[in-house]
Amino acid sequence: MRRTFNQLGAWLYRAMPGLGQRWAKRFQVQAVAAQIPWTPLHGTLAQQRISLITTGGVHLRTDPVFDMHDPHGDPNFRLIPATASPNDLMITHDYYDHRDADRDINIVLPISHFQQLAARGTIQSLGPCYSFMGHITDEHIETLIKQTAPTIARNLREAGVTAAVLTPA
Amino acid sequence: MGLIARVLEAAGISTVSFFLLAEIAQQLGIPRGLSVKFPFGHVLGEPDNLAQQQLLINHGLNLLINAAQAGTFIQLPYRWKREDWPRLLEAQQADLAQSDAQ
Repeated sequence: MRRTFNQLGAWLYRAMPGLGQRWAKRFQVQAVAAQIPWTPLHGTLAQQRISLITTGGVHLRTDPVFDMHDPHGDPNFRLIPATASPNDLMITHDYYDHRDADRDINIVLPISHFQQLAARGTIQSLGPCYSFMGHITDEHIETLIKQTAPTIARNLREAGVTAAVLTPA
Repeated sequence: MGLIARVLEAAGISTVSFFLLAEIAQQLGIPRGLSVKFPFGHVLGEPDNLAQQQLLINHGLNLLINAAQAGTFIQLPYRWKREDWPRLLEAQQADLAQSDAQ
């Protein structure tokens, strides 16, 4: 029942983009640190090993789906190998209308584009990619900041990744 | 999403983040960010619109390379379904080639 309600909401936001802008204005964003972290980019674009991170609920068809029954969201992540093809991937996320993204995953996770950029040498290589489910609230925000995101940061460093491109749902 | 960008950046990985809601993004304190006014689920545009997707990705990579300080944010002006994407991509590539040559 809750899932049906969420899916209906997602459809409404899709049909009326202005609703999304209004929803944003209602938000009191917490933890606005005056200090913004900064890592300068070293070298040219062609020297970067880049990973893609999305909050669009994308995962390998062979992986477990994201938990859609916890009202605070699923703070875990799924690894998407750099070699994955769009046909290997699917989306589990009730909070946005992903019918278009189901047709072409590149509108939320531009993996085909970055595979081509790497093949052409525009970037050095595509690193391991990760997906979250974006609708995270309350206590799971803490899990995301303290556990999930640092784990991904460590994995990316170990994989020699120098930069990341992040895309929301 | 902005929270993830901040954690990665603090761990030594340069990030560039796309957003659909510029208001939220800017309040979060994003190292490098850019926004489009597109519907949820369409941050890089429409399915199979390669020119549109490439144009936005190029904007992102350009920001990644050129941003000189934390909190650099660009609100892209594009209108949903009302742009000539192939022409915009062509103009962008000409601009990028010119700035490379300089």
